Amino acid sequence: MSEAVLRIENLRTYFHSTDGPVRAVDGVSFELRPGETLGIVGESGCGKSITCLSVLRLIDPPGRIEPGSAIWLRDRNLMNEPEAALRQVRGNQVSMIFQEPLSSLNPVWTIGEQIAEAVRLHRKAGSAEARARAVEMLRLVGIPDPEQSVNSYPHQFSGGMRQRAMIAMALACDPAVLLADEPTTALDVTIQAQILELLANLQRTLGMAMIFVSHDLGVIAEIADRVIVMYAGQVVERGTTDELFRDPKHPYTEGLLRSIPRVTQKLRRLAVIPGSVPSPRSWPPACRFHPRCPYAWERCRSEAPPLAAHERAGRCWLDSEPERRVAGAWDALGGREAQA
Amino acid sequence: MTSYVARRLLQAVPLLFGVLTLVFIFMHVAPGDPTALYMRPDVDPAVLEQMRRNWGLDQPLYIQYFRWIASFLTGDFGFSLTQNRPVSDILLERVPNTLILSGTSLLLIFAIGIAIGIVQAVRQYSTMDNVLTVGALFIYSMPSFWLGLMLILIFAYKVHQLDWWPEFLKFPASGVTSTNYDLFGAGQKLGDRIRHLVLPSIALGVSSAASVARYMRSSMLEVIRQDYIRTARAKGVPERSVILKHALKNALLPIITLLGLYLPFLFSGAVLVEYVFSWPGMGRTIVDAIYQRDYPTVMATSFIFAALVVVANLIADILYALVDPRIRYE
Amino acid sequence: MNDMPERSGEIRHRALRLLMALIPGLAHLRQGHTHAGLSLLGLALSMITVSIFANERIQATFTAGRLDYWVALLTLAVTLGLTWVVSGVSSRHRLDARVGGSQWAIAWLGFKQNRVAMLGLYLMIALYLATLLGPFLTGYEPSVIGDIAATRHLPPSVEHLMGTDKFGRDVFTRVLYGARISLSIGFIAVTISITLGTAIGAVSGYFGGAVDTVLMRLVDTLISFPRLVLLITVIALFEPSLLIVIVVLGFTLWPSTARIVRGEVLSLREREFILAARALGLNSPRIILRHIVPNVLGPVIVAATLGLGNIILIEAGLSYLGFSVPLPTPTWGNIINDGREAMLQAWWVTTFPGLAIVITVVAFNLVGDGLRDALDPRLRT
Repeated sequence: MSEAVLRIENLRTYFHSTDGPVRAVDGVSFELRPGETLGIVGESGCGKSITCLSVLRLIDPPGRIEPGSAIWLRDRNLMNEPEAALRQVRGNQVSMIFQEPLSSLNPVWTIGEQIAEAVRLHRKAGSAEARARAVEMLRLVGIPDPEQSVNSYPHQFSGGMRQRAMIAMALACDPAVLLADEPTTALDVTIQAQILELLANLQRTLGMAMIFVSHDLGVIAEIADRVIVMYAGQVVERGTTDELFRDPKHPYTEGLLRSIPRVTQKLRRLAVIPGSVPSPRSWPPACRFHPRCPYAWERCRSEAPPLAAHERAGRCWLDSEPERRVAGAWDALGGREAQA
Repeated sequence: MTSYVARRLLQAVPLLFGVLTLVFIFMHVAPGDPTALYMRPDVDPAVLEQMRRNWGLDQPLYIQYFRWIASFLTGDFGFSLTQNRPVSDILLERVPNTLILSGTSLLLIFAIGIAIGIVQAVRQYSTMDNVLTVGALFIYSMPSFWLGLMLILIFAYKVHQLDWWPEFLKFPASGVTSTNYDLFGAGQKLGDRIRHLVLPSIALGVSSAASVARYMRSSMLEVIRQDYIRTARAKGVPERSVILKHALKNALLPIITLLGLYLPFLFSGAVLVEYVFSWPGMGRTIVDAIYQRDYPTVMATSFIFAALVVVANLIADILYALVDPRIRYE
Repeated sequence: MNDMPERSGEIRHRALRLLMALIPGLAHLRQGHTHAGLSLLGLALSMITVSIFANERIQATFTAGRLDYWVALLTLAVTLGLTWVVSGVSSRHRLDARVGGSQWAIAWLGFKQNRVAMLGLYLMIALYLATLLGPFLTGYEPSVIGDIAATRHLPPSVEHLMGTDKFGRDVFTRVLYGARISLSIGFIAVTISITLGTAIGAVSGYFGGAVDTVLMRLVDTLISFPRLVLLITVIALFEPSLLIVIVVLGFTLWPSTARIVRGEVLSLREREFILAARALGLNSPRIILRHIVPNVLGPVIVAATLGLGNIILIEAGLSYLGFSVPLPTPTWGNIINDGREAMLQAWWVTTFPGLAIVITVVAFNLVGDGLRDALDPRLRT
């Protein structure tokens, strides 16, 4: 096992308001190894995006990364670095791409200027050199006629092209880590596939590590080597993509998997997890998933399950009492919902 | 871009005709016919009769209208009896003074307003932000002419009674230049003109500056929330450039349209401020002309005021298109 | 033995009820509505104070019969009466907007929570009251010239709160009476321009097409003229008088309202309930009056309040130039102009009316901003 390029330890990002803290990310730990893709999956509102922004320490007040959190980039703890040093990391060693390519690109600067800016900042390159790099990056991400496109404005690009431009901008300084926050969610399905393929290819050729955030398990299955599942600001399960899909340990993962339509299961109707992600202002006590869990019993309501330190783990009492995992519980829950 | 500019031009032309028509209507709403405006005891009735024929007042109204428009468009604004010279001569002399005063004010308004707006947005809800907000409220609730008088009272009169007050902060109370202006060297002449501009341009501009600051603050706050600002930060752009490079250009876009909106407001103020500071511009001209019942001058001046507003709006629109690539590459 | 405490309790209860009925605001204070209670109490007390101190003048009113005093007396009586009525009625049925309140009740609730806007509202009410009660608040006549040699250019003092002018007239009195002109011109002119603007904007937006084009070109043309230039150009054609000033202000300031209303109507026109009304075959005037106008009322009220402040500034400018109400009627603008020549010897003559303008306009702007925030949270800055 090689040394992790990024290691997050007990990350807690709270938003402080007058009615007490909102615990958006509450004790998340994971590591990212060189060259791998780590998928982070979960419903919206479970803290995935905040986790990514926290890695770059881009949390604005009233949000705050609580003391005791650690963000290790190789051997530097970013929590202890001053703002100037963080700026050297952002866009250089760790880059990020976002969900909405149109609104994430500045409408009044050309694509080329926006790519070149990162190069000028981090490589101390002159403007001609930075521009040449911008053209090279646009070619790399498959934008036709890069010499011309470099002078285009974001509104002149299509959705897929914009996301390609975002990727070009993020990768312009050869980052060691790319944080991709739902980069395909806002795109058409066909474009989605192209962007996924592009990201996978680039990762292979450039040898960077990537964190890929999505609420869509199908997309995760396609691109990730390992997956962590987040619920209510915590990691509830981790493992390789294979393990996770074959044998989910946490009922929440089970529920997510059940909600993917499958060709082989003809008769079962498409299931959803009943209820919705609770408010981060007041997570449920003990196991945070228990109000929505089909297996929940007293212990789940009174005692929070731990997440074992293994490579493969789930934050669930079923680990110690596997006999409680009864078949048909989900359908019963669905029935209950239907009656209610 | 070309089609956009062409469209704007096509909108401006009928607007100018509208302005002309309105002025024409004013002339004819006035009691009596336009010669009544010249009716003074010292004018021979025979001269008036001659005028009537010269102006074609015996012609049908629409012919009068077209002749009148034709003469206005060729720069023939009639004759001022009180000053005994063509109105166009008066205007030629006065318009530049108003443009200098308004231009200086406009620069002041946007420079100060934008700077304060940025500071307020970046430090939202800080003590400074609150103080500036309250200050702005008072300033734009102030009548410009009264502010002008107060400035004169303090910075032109009262400070002369203070020994310690620095000489260069004592300003002249009126006029464009000092009485001994002709004796100055080139550098002194410029300095003298600038000193005369200080108080009137502040009196004229400060309330609009307060309002620009307010717009700028909210525009900037809106922009700072945008995703592309987060992108810039994620790229490692220093906070200073995030604000001054990435946010500023976007936040300025809506402010440019204000340029056209403020000019009429500014000209209204100029009428008063020029009167207060005895500034020989169009505002002073129109007020004096009304006192002297010099109607041709009144009508021509008010037409020029409106025409300048139309042109300024056109310029603001074109400027907007130049800055916003979404319109430039339509 | 047993009913003694009960009886005294009942007496105390009755006494309290009586007190609450007599002293306005007491009931509110007891219910914990400090804000409302104190305002009512303050209003009643100040009215009573005025009537005690102005007792002589009140008696003089009945013999002299001057209109000024009658207006003031009526205001005094009506205000005092109203505080009691409002106090009595509202302490019994407190409107609770949180429970099933209408859009207006919700807006009012939002407005009430905005302390700065409420301050503006109190200022506004105080200004109108001061205007109407003017004759009781000062012992001097606004336009009568007294012993010039003895009273000319006196600095501010207890007798002359804002000093005296070149004719020895009390500046405070003149400012107080000047407020009448400013506030009444403002109010009437805004009413005219808002009504006209709403009507023209609604018609233009609702019908669209050629009607819209013609009306909007007219609006564009009028807006191209700097306001003051348009006003003085038109006023120059007539002899300035109160009526002319009001009419000209009212008929030249409507275009901006018309633009706002038109914009609102354009977006409303495509909404379902308007389409439904059309499908039902309601005729156009009915749709405009019943369905469109109520829905654009919010922005119109905001524009009116902010417009009031603006019109006061414009009127001050006009009267400073001498194009408004003719002398010797005091207006804030012409008092400032009066003091202009002697500014160095008597700074107070120009300074105080200016401050009065600033405070008045600030009050209207505060209320206007508060209303905008309350009626349309989207516009909050």
